[in-house]
Amino acid sequence: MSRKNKARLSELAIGQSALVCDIDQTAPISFRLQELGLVHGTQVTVLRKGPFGHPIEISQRGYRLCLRKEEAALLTVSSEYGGASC
Amino acid sequence: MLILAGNPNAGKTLLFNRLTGLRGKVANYPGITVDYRKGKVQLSKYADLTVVDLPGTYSLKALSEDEELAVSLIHANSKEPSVIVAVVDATQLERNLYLVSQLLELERPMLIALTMMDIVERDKTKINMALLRARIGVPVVPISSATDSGVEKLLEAAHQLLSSSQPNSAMAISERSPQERYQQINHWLDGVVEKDATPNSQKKSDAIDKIILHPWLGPVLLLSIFGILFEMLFVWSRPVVDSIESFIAFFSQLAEKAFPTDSLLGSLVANGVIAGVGSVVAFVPLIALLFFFMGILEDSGYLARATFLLDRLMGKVGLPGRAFVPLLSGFACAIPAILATRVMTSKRDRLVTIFITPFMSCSARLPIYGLMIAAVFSTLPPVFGFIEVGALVMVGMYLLGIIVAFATAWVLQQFWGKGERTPLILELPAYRMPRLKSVLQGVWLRVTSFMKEVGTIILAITILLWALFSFPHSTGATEQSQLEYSYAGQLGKLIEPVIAPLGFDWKIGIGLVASFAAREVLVSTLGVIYGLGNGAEGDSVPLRQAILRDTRPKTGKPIYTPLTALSLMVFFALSLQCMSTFAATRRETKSWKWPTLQFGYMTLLAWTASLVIYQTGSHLGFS
Repeated sequence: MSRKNKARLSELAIGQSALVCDIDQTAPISFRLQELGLVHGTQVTVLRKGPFGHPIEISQRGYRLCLRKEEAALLTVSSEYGGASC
Repeated sequence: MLILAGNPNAGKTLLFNRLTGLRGKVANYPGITVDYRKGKVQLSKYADLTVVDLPGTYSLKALSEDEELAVSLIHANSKEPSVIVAVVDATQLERNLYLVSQLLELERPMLIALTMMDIVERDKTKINMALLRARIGVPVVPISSATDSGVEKLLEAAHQLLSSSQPNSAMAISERSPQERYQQINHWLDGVVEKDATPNSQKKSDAIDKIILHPWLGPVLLLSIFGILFEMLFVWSRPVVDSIESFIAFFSQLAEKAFPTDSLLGSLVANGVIAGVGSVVAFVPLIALLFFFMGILEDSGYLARATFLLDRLMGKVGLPGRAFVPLLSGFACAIPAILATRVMTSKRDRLVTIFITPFMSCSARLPIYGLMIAAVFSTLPPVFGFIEVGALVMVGMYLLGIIVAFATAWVLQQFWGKGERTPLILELPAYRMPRLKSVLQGVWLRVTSFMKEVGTIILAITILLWALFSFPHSTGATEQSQLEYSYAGQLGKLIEPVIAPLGFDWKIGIGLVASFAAREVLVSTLGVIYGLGNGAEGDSVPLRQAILRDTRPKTGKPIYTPLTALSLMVFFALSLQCMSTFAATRRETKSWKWPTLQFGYMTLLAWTASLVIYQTGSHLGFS
């Protein structure tokens, strides 16, 4: 049985992977994040974090991107064991 | 015309440089403060083709000025037949193709330049070009930084598209969602790429990053690197600047002798025009070296890491990590620093950065610090037995500037709130050896555009200064008395009551009046006041000793005490004594309000700080 575990992207630990489920549409930067590839269903992996926990570098769609904690917090992701879905 | 569009770091600039060689220049679009590059192709076969390099963008959705400019430029040149060259980074196909999906909707002649092919080969990744071309529907030209053949093929393909061109369509981008576009991209790329899990170049880069981005080693390294860089910057540029200045002085004297003695025209040519042009030229070594170092740091990939490390710290005062590049440049000269703020997309962030940049002690303040320290502080005994007082004071002045800059940013943040902060969206590209040729081309471009934009202003100001010092003109007067009775001299005496509480007298007052146009003028002005001529060699008494002999008329005590010197240095550290900076701010903010506000704020702050220091010191018995 797979266990769904929804969290914010900013809460993931280094090395964790997850799928993008949702994004807070009210933030002005959200559209830009989607244009950069963070749409529903994209797989992301957290690679490293800066001093004091941010910025956060993630890997997705074949490239790496650094986001601030508050920017990453706009994304809801699902990290689960087994199959892929939101 | 070739229009280069693509993501930041996709290799657009490199391609532009390879296409145009030194035939590129920086251009500005009316109404938009972001600039772009334009030039003619250097290959003689296609020498009539123009290349326009749009700012790097992830999308054409016009959320920032970069994108506004890109859209404007694409539509602006509808009359001239143009080909869109989509610059796509072969190592990041998915995201790069997002822009391509938008560009295709414009229905213009288009081709894809696939860059970073040398990295693709090195990583043993395989890309099926034919399949890609078939799926997307436009020519795909691989470009490798190692060979020139790609560039030629690109020009051929573009030429072909141009010859069979139809009038440029006026189609606009559709409203498809990012999700839909990425679905199309997935379809395009299905089966096209075969790659290793983590390419070698990335692994090496990650190993280096373990140190560079280490929680505490990283910041320490950052400080050291920039410290060394600045040391090199000032040490290496000094001899070149000195020789330029000697040459200009020599040339100026030569010119003066060519005219009848005491002729106004001769003076104008020698001290106005030649001195003006000379001071612009004297800027160049420092600025060129600064751009060079910044270019190397950027091309190697280190600058992105520095932004990564600094973003949080700068965020505390409401600035984005990216702001540190202009701020750092400000230590050499505020003018290119202010011009460099164009990289920030948020207007608010750009404004704050422009506002605080002049606090970074620029190189023009050095002669003043140097004079005061040599005159007054170098004779004091070292602290703890070995630390030179002069060195401490110097460091103190720099720190003062930095602290005040950040404090100002913090205060502005309280007023304006965080607002629309420039998003981080930072990419850490894999480290690489900086490409010297490309960096040098960039330096050339920026230096030439600097000289054009700011050079004319500096020249005009120097001539204005000359006029203030030369009129009213009395024939046969000594240099000293001419200075004293000129408009500038009268102004100096006029402001004496206002600056006396700071410990300054009317002679310094004249110096202040002059140096409000350009700081470094203080030293040469003081030189004239104390009868030493315009920095001529063979002075029997150096300036630093001459000023020590001067005493206050009322008390008979020396004017240049450590306290006065400190007060003067602090004044120079905090005030905006550079009309060229004023002009640069006006240009970048496209208003008079901001430069005026900046000037007023800094002058007031400087005056108050000097007042506090001098009065406190006097009452404590230091004067």
